Amino acid sequence: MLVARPHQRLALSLLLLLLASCSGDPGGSNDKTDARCVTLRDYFITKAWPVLGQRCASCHSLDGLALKRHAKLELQPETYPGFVDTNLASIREMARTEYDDVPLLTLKPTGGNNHGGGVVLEKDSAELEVLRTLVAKVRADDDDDASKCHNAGGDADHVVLQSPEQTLRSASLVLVGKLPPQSELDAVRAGGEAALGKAVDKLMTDEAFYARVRELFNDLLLTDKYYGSTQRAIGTINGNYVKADIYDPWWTGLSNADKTKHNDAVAREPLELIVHVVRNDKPFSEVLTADYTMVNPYSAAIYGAKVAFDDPSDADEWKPAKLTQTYKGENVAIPHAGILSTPMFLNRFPTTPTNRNRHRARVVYKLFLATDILRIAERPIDPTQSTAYNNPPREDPACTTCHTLIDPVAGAFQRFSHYDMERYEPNAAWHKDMFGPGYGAETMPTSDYGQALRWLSSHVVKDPRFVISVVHNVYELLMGRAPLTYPRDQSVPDYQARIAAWRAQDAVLGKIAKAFRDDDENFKTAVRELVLSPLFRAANAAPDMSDDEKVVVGDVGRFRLVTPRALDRKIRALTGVRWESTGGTGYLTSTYRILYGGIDSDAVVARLGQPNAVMAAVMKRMANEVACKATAFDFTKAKDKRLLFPAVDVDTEPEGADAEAAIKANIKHLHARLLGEQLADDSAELAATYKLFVETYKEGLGALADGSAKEYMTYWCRARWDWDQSGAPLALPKERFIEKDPRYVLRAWRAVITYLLSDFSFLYQ
Amino acid sequence: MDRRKFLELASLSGLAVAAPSAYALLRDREARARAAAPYRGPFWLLINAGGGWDPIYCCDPKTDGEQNRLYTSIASAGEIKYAPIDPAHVFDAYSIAPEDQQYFMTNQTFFERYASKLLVVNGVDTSTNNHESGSRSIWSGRVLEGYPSLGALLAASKAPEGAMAFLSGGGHDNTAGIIPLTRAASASALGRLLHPGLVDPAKPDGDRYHSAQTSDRIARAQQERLKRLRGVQHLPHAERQMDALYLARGSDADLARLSLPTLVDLPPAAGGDLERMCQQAQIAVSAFKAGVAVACNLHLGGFDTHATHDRNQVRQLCKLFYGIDFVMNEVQQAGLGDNVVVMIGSDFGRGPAFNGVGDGSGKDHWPITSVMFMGKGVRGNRVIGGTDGEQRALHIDKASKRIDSGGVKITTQLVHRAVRRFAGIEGGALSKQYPLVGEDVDLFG
Repeated sequence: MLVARPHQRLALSLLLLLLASCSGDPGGSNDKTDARCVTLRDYFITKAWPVLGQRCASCHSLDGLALKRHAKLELQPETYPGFVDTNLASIREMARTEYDDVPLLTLKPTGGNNHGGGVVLEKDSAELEVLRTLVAKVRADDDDDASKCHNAGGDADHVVLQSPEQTLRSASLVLVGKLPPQSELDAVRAGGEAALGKAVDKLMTDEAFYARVRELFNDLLLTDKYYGSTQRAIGTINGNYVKADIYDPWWTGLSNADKTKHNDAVAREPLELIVHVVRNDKPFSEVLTADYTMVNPYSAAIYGAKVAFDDPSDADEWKPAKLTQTYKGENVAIPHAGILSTPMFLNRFPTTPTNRNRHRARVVYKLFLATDILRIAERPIDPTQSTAYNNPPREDPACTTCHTLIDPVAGAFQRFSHYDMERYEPNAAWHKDMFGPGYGAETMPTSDYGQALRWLSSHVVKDPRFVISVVHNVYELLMGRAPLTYPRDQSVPDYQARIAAWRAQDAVLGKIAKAFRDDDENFKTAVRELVLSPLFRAANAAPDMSDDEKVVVGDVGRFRLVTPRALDRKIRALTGVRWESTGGTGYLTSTYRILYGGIDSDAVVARLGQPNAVMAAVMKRMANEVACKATAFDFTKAKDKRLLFPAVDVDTEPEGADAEAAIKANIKHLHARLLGEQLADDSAELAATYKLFVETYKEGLGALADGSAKEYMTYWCRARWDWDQSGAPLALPKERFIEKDPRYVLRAWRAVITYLLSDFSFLYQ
Repeated sequence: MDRRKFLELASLSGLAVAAPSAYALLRDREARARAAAPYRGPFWLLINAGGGWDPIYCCDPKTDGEQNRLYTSIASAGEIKYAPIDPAHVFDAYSIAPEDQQYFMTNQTFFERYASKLLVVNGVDTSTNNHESGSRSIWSGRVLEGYPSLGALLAASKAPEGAMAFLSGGGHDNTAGIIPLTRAASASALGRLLHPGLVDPAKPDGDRYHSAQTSDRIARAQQERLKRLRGVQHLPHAERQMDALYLARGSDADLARLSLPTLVDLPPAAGGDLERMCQQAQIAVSAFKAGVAVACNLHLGGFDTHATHDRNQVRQLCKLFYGIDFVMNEVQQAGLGDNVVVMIGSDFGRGPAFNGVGDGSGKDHWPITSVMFMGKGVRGNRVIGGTDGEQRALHIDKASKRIDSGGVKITTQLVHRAVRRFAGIEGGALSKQYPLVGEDVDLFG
């Protein structure tokens, strides 16, 4: 291993159980494990669903023929979040019903008991045998307690987790963009796993965490499209609030700086509501159910909200407020429903008179119910059929699949204008040719139409999928990729291994969901549990895994390319300088943001997770420029204040044992600080970095001797400016200037810093 | 840079099992990197009308008032029929000044200028009417997720070692992990990256951050360290990320070949979307000329006209045609005129009728659409396929490609099978890894 400190190798009982089951045939004749150890849930996932999903679901799910004929067995497709538990509940019900002593679940598929679908499975087929085993397991009341299995915990350790200290370092960089204090690392080192959770909790009280929450949720809501402008948000809501009028003399008289404050306050409203809920440990459901919104002095002025602020000029002072709009000359209260009723949400996900809020409904499903309607209803459409219906969305089966889900939710946005997105129209009528407002099987009472969005929110947050969606969102936002989807292609040779991978991840996410739910839906709990989980902490795996085992752990471990904004913070936190223009604009938050795979929340809304040659060039320029800026500057500080070079001086040349020891000690420090690696004395990495330093030094000495290099360093790499101050450079006192490098030591260190800043362990987290 | 050894290591450590496509790609790239020759075409421009365009207002005209309220007769340019729409009502509605109207190209101008080059395929069945799966269907040939988009497949099959092999300005650009995606954005920022070792990129002979020898030493040390890390890392996800970084590096020389243009600056009336599309096209053409790119997605949105269809659909079509014309001029000026293939498509079609009455009404999603091709090897002045009076797809005879009720339906699978064959990647490893099931009709023959 490269990291000298031994990794903590933990047996992941969950993964191992799955590995065991994927290598055998749970419940089948080739089972290498005790079949009784395969829980009902596991059996359903690995064996029963491939049969049910393939042979039964097309008629027994969504708007399938069987359900239209009122069949009792209802199955959700694998694209439905929590489909395992939902379907198991249905199966449990069915498995207990018999006809002539034969369970209906095994009788019907053979054509018995007037099965509407006729013969689907032959009586002696292996597939029917799977269903028989499923019924037996339901009747035996097999639960999900894997501990009764003799091999629980397993005896192999396939995945290596980060130590608690390493985990804290990673979590700190990911959640707050800086290194944890030494005292916290010491506490975790001493307290181990037990102390780690508390340390992560503490990170989430740092103000930087809330900035991160804004950033993370913007990836979903994309409302920063309106942020950072003098009037993008205000222009959008023009005319609907007392001061939202960009032609009003009051507005035109404002400075651009003040306009931006007002604009950004409105733009950030939904994200601030989320921050408010997270900061105050409120149930996360309040982001949808809050009967208030959040304003600061600048948005309060735009909205005409009467809120008392401690400091009317403080843009960071956010308070709850209830807003009104003028409708036909009267003030009417907005029936707030968390972020859903915020002007920015309504505009970012707009509608039209013919779309009728369906797009918004789809967004609600996707963001808060973990349900991608498009995937659920993914099926070929036959246009020759649609023309046979007067109202295809309500009548054509190809359309109703989606519309029975979408239209009722769309109806909840009924009081917001189709033409002017945030415009509240308390008496607006809804379309009678759509499926009526409601949620699932429940129809919204007309008496609730005035509070329709609130009615919707209260139903969404009670849906088990809401909790799943929060966990999925946390996973996607922190890991940089979506959770695995249940594999649908049974023809691939590693199908069972893929199921095992999905099952492993689903089980961990399920555990996180339970912790989140049990802690009154505290968002921080979901974050903490993910950070503590093997999904986040996996650092390596055993070298001797089989092909199937590799598939099972295929998506474990973070290893995410650090996003542009996070890399900007990381550079500043670890090197002490920012990569920015001389005007103080961060390159990674402006010039290179899009080229480096970031988003602008408008036209570019998906991050790049895989580097390309242009991104590699950004990495290279960044490493060159930051090393140039940071190296000599760090040496201007007292040794005990240096971030990068606490063990050497500007004249420490690689000559003699003491100097070599000091240089190597500093290299160890750099690897620890910049890459999170603890190097042993005999580490190949220590040797490689030392070699780079020495060879560069020697080359430089030669160049100085033959005149091809000068004592003076490149102008911008000299220590002449105080880079502790971000923005336009301030000159250092002249006595602290370091402009010459007569023995090429600084340039050798610069090469080392360049090397480390463009390293995988720096660029990925 | 010892890629061969790295590949051996990758193979031994099971990468081939974890990600067979990545392994194949690595191997292909290794072979091409050894050849070290710039890619010389053909280049592919894939132009997406985002949101679902209306072929009836474009290349599949119909005079039925249920479907069209803007023209009463059908126009022709050569063999290609088109909708002769006068955009005056758009100019009125959006107060487009006369001097700005040049950025809105009429159907008549476009088809008269390009008919001789155009192959129009009408009556293409995407089998979906939702945006995401429609985009996938048109640009990958498959409704379901998981397949690379055409641009990614072409780039990975033809010259994956190109520094910017697959560029994208939007639209469906899923890579399925077979090739890195590069955003076609900001030429000025890109300019600073062409020589990352120079302190001032504008001064090729100016100061460098490190001597050439030191720069090489650092680069070598980086790649060697990455190989060491990779050699002891066994988590498949980490392995994939390391491989991706390894491959992304080492293209300095390729990038340095780029000669970036001054980007076009259109007036506000033309719209930021059109300006973006044109600028992306400029970057793409520069990358083609430098031999570092194979394919580029260009994107113009705004076609999802559920409301005010007659205004907004026409406006966007006029902008799209201006954009295509701009691209073709850029291609000509770069001397690549006979070496670029263009495919133009959209999520699906719209229709079959208006969803209401009056100017505010629009057209909803409709799975039947059209695609157009032109460029190298494309025989123009042709229309294949069609739709009936209710905008349903007509079948064609596989051999003659004439309308034939006993023939086959033009699906997106059929189109992409033909495109793959036309592009010469049909038998490649990646095409086999992502097979398309469907009829074979030689659309280009």
